[in-house]
Amino acid sequence: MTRYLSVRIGGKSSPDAPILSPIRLADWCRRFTPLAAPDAPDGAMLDIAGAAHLFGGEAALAKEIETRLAKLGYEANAALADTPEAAWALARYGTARAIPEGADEKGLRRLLGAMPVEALRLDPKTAYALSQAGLKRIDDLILRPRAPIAARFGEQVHARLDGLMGRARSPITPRFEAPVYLVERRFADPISRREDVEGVLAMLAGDLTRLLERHGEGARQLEATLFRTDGAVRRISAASSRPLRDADAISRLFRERIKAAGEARDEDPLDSGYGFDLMRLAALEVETLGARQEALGRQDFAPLVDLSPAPMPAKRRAVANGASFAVDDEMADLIDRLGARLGLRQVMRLVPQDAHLPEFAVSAQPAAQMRGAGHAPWDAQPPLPRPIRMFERPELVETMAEVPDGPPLRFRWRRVMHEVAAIEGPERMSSQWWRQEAHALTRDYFRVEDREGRRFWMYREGLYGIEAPRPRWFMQGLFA
Amino acid sequence: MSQGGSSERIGFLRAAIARIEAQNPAGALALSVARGRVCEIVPATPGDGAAACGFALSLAIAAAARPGLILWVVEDFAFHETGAPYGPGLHHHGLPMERFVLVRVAGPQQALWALEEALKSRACAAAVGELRDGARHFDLTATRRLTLAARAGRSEAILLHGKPAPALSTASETRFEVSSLPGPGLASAGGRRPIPTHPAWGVRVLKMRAAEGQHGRPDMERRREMIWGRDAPQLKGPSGDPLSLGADRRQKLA
Repeated sequence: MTRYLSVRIGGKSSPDAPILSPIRLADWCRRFTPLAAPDAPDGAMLDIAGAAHLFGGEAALAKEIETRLAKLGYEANAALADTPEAAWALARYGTARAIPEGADEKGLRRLLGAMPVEALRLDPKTAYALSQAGLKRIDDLILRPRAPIAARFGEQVHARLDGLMGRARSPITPRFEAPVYLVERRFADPISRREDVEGVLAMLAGDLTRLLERHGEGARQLEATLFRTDGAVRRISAASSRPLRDADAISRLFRERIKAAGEARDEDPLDSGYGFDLMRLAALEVETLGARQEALGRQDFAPLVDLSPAPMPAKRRAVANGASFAVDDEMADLIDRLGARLGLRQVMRLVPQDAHLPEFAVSAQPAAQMRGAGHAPWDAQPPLPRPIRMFERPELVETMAEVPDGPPLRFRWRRVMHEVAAIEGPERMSSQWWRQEAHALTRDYFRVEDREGRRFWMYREGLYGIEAPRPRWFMQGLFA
Repeated sequence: MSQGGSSERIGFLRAAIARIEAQNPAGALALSVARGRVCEIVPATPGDGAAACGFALSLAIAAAARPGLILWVVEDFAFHETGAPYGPGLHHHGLPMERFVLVRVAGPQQALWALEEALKSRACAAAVGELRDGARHFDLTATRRLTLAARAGRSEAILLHGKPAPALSTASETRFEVSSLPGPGLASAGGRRPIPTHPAWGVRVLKMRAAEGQHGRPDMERRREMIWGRDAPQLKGPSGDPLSLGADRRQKLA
């Protein structure tokens, strides 16, 4: 049986308290249950199924929410019911704090019947029309036949009424999905030092690892949530390129994320303020991960030193497997760590593309999102000489040639004159005419070596006299 | 024979080999392309950046014989200023692209951090780091840290300076000064200008710690000429038979 708890902020008891938006309230409420939805304009809706006993029962939970919000400077009231509609109505128009679980129609009418029709959460126009027609209380509606009301005031009225009376089930839309695995630590005294936070994260990582291990899974997406005493909630997410179940690796990832945040903001990276009183670590996405020899994998690269007195080939093979696992893991860990600190898009693998134009012939993909190392397509590339460095935008070159459509004798690039000593070309690359792009002229590529031995990759844009009256030359890359 | 005796003898032989190999850049190369070492590459003139990069690439390819990633750390600005490493070109020279990772960083601090992290992780066969202002940021402290990281992770660090750096004080084991050199061009028909072929560089060993304190110090002053063949991605140095390139070589081929 699901239970819903509606929180409503009535006003501020302390003038200093910042405005609490429904989204911030919902985030704050996630400390009680993972399923919290913002409920505009003044509240939040919580699905507390299976969470209330952690706080000493439903009444205690509602009371705790109210006291905590009061301490932060807000007048709040919380109400519990079997449906979101009933909880909402009760928090705003009710006298009781809770509708008992599984209450029957009679009980519901007793608690809700006296409320004004506004408790149905209708739009103001309909509510006004109802009250004009003399239907001022919920009871008035319950007793009347449905068809005339639906015909006059719309389907909405009874849809809400059914929700209120528990005849229909309506879901809430939590701001975040419930995580697959969640571990947390609560503190009587808030912690604020970065070392402490990182230490707790390491402990949480250990807890989470044990949880994952029991289920034979590894985490791909992780999120740490830090609840500050003054109600602010900080989320730090980290991604892994392989299913991760290594407490050290997890806490290292978060350390990098925290450092990266510090670099970006140039201040206290955690913005800890008065400190955090609750920290959570959640695995949002998991994948199956078989058991493996963690202890051996963490050893040295050269594990073939036989420590056992008698030769044991089977064991040695196992050890060697552990080592190769270790290399792969180290690679994935390194990529994750660099990505966590520098940004996932900054750590790239290059993948060949089926395109002739050199700038499109390769694309950089975030390394963390590429699984495995099997990128055979590189082997199929034609062995054409290509520069080792490429400019993002080709640069204009002034050239001097014997004949207007001939290769250059000398050229000026970046204000330096180069005498051509050796040249090969043209390698003609036509535009992708089937794509009908504007300004797509034919390019004639030349490999050019100057007298000093510098090697360039230049192209002439446009066929002389056909596509362009005076084709321009561009520098696109440099050879080794 | 005891364990200690044979290892002593091997150590003696290794020292002797190092002494002989230290006489030429190829030997210096053999020493520099080793696990746990830091090697610096400095272009001789501002225009020799691409040559220095090619030389660094050749070292990285040599290091790729070992398992692990080849990591290349590039500053943002390089993408429009000096050009970014270009996949098909790297592939053309024989770099195993499936193990290649390009890391784009905002500045020198991030570059040094990424390099250190990569070197000590044991995931890398080699990590190349290029900095525009290498002389300033690859200082004694930074290179010392990188040396320790490279030793811990038994990977190779290749530090590529973006511009000439005449006086350097770093903790690297080897330093090469690379300049571009006219390659052995192929003559084309009809008396036209020749066709460029393999890359060639002039390489000077500026520093080699491995050989210090021994009898044969490398010839620091002389510039050696090197050619990088396309089919065999390894350096053909002047071991025994010094390759002489340049103008006369070009005519010979013609």
